[in-house]
Amino acid sequence: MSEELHQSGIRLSEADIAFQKQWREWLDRTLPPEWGGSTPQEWHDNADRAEVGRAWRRKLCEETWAAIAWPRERGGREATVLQQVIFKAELILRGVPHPFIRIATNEDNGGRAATAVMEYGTPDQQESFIPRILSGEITFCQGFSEPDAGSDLAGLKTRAALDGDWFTVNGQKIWTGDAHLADWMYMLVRTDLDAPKHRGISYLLVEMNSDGVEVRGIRDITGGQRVNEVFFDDVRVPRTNLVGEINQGWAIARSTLQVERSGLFNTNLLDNMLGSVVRLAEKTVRPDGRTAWQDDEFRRKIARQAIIVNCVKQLGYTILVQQMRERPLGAEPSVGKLAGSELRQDLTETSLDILGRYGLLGAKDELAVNKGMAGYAYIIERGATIGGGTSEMQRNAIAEKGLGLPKD
Amino acid sequence: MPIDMHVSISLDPDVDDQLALLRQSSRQVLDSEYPPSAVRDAASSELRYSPDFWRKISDLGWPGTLIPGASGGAGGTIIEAGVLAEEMGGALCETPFVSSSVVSAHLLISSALPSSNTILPAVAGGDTIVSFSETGATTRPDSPRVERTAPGYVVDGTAPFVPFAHVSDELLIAGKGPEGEDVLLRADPQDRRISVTLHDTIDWSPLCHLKFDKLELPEVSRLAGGQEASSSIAKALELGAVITCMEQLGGAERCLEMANEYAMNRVQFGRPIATFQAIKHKLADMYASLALARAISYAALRASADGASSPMLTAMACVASSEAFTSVARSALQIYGGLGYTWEVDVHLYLRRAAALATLYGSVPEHLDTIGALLPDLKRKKDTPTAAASAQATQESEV
Repeated sequence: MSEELHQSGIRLSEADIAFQKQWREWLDRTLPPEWGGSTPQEWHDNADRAEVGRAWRRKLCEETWAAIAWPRERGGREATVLQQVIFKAELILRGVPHPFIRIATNEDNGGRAATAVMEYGTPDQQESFIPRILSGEITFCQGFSEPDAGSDLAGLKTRAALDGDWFTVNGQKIWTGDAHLADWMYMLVRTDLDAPKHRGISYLLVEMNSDGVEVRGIRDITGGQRVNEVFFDDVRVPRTNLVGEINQGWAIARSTLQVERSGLFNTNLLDNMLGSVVRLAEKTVRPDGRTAWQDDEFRRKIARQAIIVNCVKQLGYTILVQQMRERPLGAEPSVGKLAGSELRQDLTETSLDILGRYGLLGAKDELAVNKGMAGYAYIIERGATIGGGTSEMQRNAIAEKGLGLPKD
Repeated sequence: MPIDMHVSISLDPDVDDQLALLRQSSRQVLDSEYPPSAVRDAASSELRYSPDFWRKISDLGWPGTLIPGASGGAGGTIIEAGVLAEEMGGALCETPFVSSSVVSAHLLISSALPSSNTILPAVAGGDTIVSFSETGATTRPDSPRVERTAPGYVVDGTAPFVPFAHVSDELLIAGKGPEGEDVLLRADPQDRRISVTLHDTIDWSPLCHLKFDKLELPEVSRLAGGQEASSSIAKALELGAVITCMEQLGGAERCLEMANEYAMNRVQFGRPIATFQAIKHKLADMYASLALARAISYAALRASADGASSPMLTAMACVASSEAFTSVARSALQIYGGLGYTWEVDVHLYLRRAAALATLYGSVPEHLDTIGALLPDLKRKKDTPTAAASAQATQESEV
């Protein structure tokens, strides 16, 4: 990582190195050793992951690692963009499961809610919510998408009618990750039916155990439940739970959705996936006695995939340079998302092709290779080009930001 | 609208401001001295390049970019040469810059012989053009054989693809000695034992077919041998490869600009065709492939400048840039539709140059095999605990 940063023309200062050392020492002491070798499937199926996440947040919070980018008076460390990358890289290097990385980097749903409250909330809201979120006492889910508002999110219809000191919320959210585990939801609601669609949206905090909130699980493509539908039937929400001004919700959502845009995090996962595919090709012996790796077609295909991994990685570093210079980002983050997500699918397809019939076997089968990861990854990765903005939306963004083409 | 992707993708964070000035001034020169008509003029001329233009950029010192100040050059870096190559690539400029001022200049600079140094000022000034029979000379069966004779060497065989040999004043020959070792020799291209034929090429680039008929060279013509020759030749080819990547990026960017502008102006069914997603998304894919190629090629160029290059990174940059330029040119032609199929519209000039550049310093399958040979070891070294884990980032975020 340091070497790659150096190659990108990025130099670590003494403060950066001291920061890295302190963080490494804390992780040496604190990180649960069993996090290293676990598979995503094991974590998805783990019923305790919400509790484990809370405990992790609490530990981070106790030594001010829970929101490192924040001002010191809010419990942060005023970490620079580069230090945030160093921080995250260390977690990736140690094999921390993805949901817990998101918690540490304050990019989980709790972190987003806390950021919104910090930037737009009233002093009362800040005092009430921020300490409880950072310490893991309360968790959040995100209520944005609706059945008729996906890529066109601003077309959302869930209505919040204000009467005196109370909103009454009616409508439905969908694809809500971990709604069945969360204590609260931050949500976008329509508060002005007549305004242009982006200007009639507000940002509300709603307790999940409120009367009239119903969560129904959606079985996803893997058969597991991670996302939900959430129904709102005359749910009463105090006006004091409105974040920011009324009808200002779109701007708040946009600013809190700015997760790490460099995509460097993702490229480490790509690197690992690529490594798995190379090893799989090397050890898979085909009927003619040669390994898949000795097959020109497979080897060149994987070499191409290696190129894209490195292109996306280098692009990530150039985005980081832009962020460090506090310059606006153009189309490059969308290029990284588009290329990275399509590559992930390609890599899973290659694994399946290499394995042939063995790729069909589930985790517990005695003939399964790598705990059946190839088949599982092939299925789960279909989401890569849909979640977080579909590939089609990325192409629109690239054309509009990079080439100045008109919006649809 | 200029895309100017180099603004968002930094070439070298330490010196971006100086590079921006260099880019701006070189673009001004090219805009005024090398319009699209110059590309066609060069292609149809006897020498297939413009000696006048070469003279102009020589007066500006471009050929001396990499040559040390003590030898009459600017003592610059490969990164500066890269900026010039990118801009010249955008203008589809055909000059001996890459073969003489970069590849051959490196071979001369790295040679310990005083005789190499004496010609450097003339190379820096553009007065002497040096060509290098460099087509994969270290590996290919088609490189010339070199025999050791008592007073010197005998070169026999052919070098089928040597850029600018027809106008060169000096010729550098990489060959295989009797033990299979690399030898680097210097010869006079006018020697009657060397025949030089200018190929007819797809983009009219002046590639020459050299035939050596038992060319006898004295001992002093040997610039380097053995390991020294191998590493010098390898580095020269690496510089040629990364500089070619820069030409490709420049060509691809200009071609994308043209297609973008055309799609905004061309109206069908009552609206600009750029507003149809079929076209808009094609343009987005062109932008994406260029951005990705640029990111890795800039990294390869920086690594080359820092002495941190690797055959893997260079090969990756070559594939990415070659395919970015060829695919952008093909898509641009498709967007132009029937007009793109005409002689008068310039798109085919980009298509042609893209095809030619994609072969110059190794073909895509060759680069892929280089990567394939190195990848397993690299991956073993970087084994991490999460290796079994498939990525799942977007799974965690809401759809």
